[in-house]
Amino acid sequence: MDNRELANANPVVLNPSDLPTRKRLSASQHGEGKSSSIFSFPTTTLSSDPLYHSDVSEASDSDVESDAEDIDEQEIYDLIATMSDPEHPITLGALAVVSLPDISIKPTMPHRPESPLRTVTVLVTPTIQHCSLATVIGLGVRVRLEESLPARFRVDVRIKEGTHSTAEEVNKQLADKERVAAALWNPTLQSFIKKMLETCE
Amino acid sequence: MASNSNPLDNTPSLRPHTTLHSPTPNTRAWSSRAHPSSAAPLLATAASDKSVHVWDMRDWRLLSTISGGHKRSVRCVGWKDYGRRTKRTRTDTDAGTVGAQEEGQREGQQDPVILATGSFDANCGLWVWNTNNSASEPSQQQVQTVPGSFDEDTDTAEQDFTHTHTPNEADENEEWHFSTLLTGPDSEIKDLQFSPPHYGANLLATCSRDKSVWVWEEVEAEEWETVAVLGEHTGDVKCLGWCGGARTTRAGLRRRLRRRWGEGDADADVDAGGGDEEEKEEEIVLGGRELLASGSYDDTIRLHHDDEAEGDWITIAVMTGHEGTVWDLRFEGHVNLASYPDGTSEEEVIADWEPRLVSCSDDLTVRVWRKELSEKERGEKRMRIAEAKRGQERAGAANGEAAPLQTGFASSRLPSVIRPPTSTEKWVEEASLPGVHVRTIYALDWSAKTGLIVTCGGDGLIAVYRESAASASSAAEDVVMNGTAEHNEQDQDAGDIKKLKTEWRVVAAMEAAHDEYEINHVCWAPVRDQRRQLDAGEVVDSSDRDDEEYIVSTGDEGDVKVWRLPREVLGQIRQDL
Repeated sequence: MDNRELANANPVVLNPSDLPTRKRLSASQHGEGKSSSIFSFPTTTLSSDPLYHSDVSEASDSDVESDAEDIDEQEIYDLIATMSDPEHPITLGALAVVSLPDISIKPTMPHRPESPLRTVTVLVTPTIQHCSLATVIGLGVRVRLEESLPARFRVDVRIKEGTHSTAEEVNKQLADKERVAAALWNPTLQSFIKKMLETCE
Repeated sequence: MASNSNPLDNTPSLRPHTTLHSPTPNTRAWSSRAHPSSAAPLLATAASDKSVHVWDMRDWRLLSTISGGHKRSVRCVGWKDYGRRTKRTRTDTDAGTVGAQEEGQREGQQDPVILATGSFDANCGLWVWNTNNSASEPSQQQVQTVPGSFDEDTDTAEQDFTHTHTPNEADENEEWHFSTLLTGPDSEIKDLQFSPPHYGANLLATCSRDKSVWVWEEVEAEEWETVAVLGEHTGDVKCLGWCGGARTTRAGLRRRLRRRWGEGDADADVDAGGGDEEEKEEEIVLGGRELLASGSYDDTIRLHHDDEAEGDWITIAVMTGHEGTVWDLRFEGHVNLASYPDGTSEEEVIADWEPRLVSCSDDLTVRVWRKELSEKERGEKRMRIAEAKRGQERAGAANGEAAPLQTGFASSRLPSVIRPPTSTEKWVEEASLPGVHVRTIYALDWSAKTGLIVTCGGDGLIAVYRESAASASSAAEDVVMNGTAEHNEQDQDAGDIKKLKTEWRVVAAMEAAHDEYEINHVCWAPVRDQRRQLDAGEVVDSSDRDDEEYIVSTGDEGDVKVWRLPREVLGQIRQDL
C-alpha cells in the first residue's frame, strides 16, 4: 500500500471555521461548502430539538434512559468529523466526507415507542467517484461509532447515493456485521483505522 | 395474515429460564449449540475472545473454556451426532428402516464427544472430550489452554495474537483433547455442521468468506480428508445445513394422526409420554438424503450432493428470491401433519412427506422452500401413495410389500443402477413467515421435535412461529400440493393426497431479549436439568421435560440466555406431538 498512488491527490478542503460545531450553531446551517444541495435531506435542526439542551432534559426527565437522549446528530458528527482520511492528514469533516445533514438518528422500532434502540445512519461522500478507500473510510466510521456509542445504537454507514461507482457493493460490505468484525482482525485494516483515529481527541 | 397491525401485539412472551454470563463480559459471543445426546449434556458457545465456553446443561455451570487454539474469533461450533445407536435387527431389512434399539441410550456413553470449532483464523478444530475427567465429577471449572496454538502459516504477515498467552504443559487430565486441525479455506470459517448420524459416511461441512464450501470425510478415526470443495457461490458462504430428514416411528405417526382426527383413545398413550411400545419400535427416517444446503452473501441458496454418476459433488438446485444476504437456513426435521386431510394413514404420510427448507436474510424475510417434483417424480410418488392406500386396506400392511414405499434414507444406498438418474431439482418458495423483524435476521432453527421455527436478529427480537391448518375461511381453498406448484384438477387420482392449506403464525416472542444488544444466534436445545423444579413454584414432571425444548440465544454482550416457551404454546404443541 505504500507505493500506492493517492486516489485523490487534490481534494477539496473546507475551511475549519466553516464546519458545524456545537459552539456556533448557525454554522451547521450553511457550513457545508460545495454541497449545499444536500439540505434537501430533512435533518433534525438542532434549534428545534427539545432535547438539545441536555442539562434541561435530564432535569425534567426522571427516566434513566434520558441520559442517552443527549446524543444527537451533532454529537455523532463530532465523533467522526475529527477522524482523518487514510491518505491525507485532513479530517473527514474538512474533506466533507461526512457532513451534519447526512447524519440521522431514528428510532429503530418505530412501532415500539418505549424501545431505547436508535438507528444512526451516516451517509459518507467519498472524495472522488472511484475512491478505492471508500470501504475503509466507511469501516472506520462504523467502528468509531460502534466503539463510542452505547449498545442501544445501531449504526448504518452507507455511501451517499450517486457519489461512488460501486456504492452498492461497498454498502453491502459495510452493513455486514460479520465482515466488519472479521475485518477488525486484519492487521492491515487495523493500522488503517488506527491511523484514521489518530486525530480524534 | 394481517401485516398492517403489529403481529407481536398480544403475543405471549418467552419465559426466561437462566442466563449464562460470559467469563469475559462484554465480549461478543457468536453462537451456541447443545450436544444432541443425553449422555453429553453440554452446550458450547463460540466467542470472539478466541475461545469456546462449554456449559453443563444439568446445572448450567461453566464447565470448561477451550482457548489457545484459535487465533481469532471462534465463529461457530458443532457436535458430532451419533444418534441413537442403530442396529439392524432383521435380515430382511426394510429400505428406509433403521432398527433403533434401546442399547443406543446406554452405548451412547461410549461414543466420543466431539466438538468442531470454526474460526475467523480460517481453521477448523476438532476436539474430543475426555470423559474420564468430566461431568461425572462436577468439580470446579477448568480453563484449558492448549499447548501452543495451531500452526498458522497462511497469514504469516499478520500479527500473532496468541503469543500473549502462556503455554501450559500438556495435562493428562485435560478436559478437551485437541484432535485434528482442518486447514484449507482461505478466509474466515463462518459455519460448520457434521452430517446426520444415519448418513453412510461421517462428513463435516464448513463454509468460508472465500466463497467456498468444503466437505470433509472422516476416513478413519480422527483422520479427515477433503472430499469436495464447492465454489459456485459468488460471495461469502454464511450458513450450511444437512438434510437429515425426520426421525420418527410408525406408531408415533399413527398415534398423532389418530389424535388429529379425534379417533380412538389416543389421549391415553399420549399422556404416558408416547408409550413403551413406541420406544421399542423401529425408528424410521423420512426424507433424509445426502444433501447439503448453503446460503450466501450472494443472496442465493444452493443445494449440493455427491453425485454417483458424476463421481463428484455437484450443485443440484439454486434458490433465488432473497434480496439480501442469506444468514441462516435449516432443513425440516419434523413431520407436520397439519396439511394432511382427515383419514390419511401413516403409510401415506411416509410415502408422501419430504423435508422443506427455511432460510432467513438481511432482507428481513424468513422463507420456506419446497422441492417441486418433476413429472416423473410425481408419477412415482402417486404410485407409492396409491400403493400405501391399498396396503392400508390389507391386514399386515406394515411388513412385506409396504417396504418399497419408503422414502427413507436408506433408499439412497441402493445400487446406482436402480437409483433415479440425477437431474437438477427445482425448489420453490412455499411461504413467507410473518415479517416481525426490523433489523437483519441473523439466525433461525427449525425444531425437529415440534416443528416450531425460531428466529433472532439485530433488533434484539426472538420470534417463534408455528404452522397450523389455515383458518376456516382460507381452508376453503384447499389445494393439492404433493410437491407441485399448482393444483391441477385432473391430477387428483388415487395417488394424490388432497393437502390442506396451512399458515404460519407468530406464537411467542421476546423483544429486547438481550436488552439493547443484538442477538447473533438462536437454536433449540433439549432439557437436561437435573433439578425437577424449573422455576419458582413449578414442579415439572419427567413427561413434561421430555417434550419440552429450550430456546438458547447468544448475544453481542457475550451472554447466552435460555428460554422456555409460554405455557399456552406448550399446550398447543403437545396436542400435536
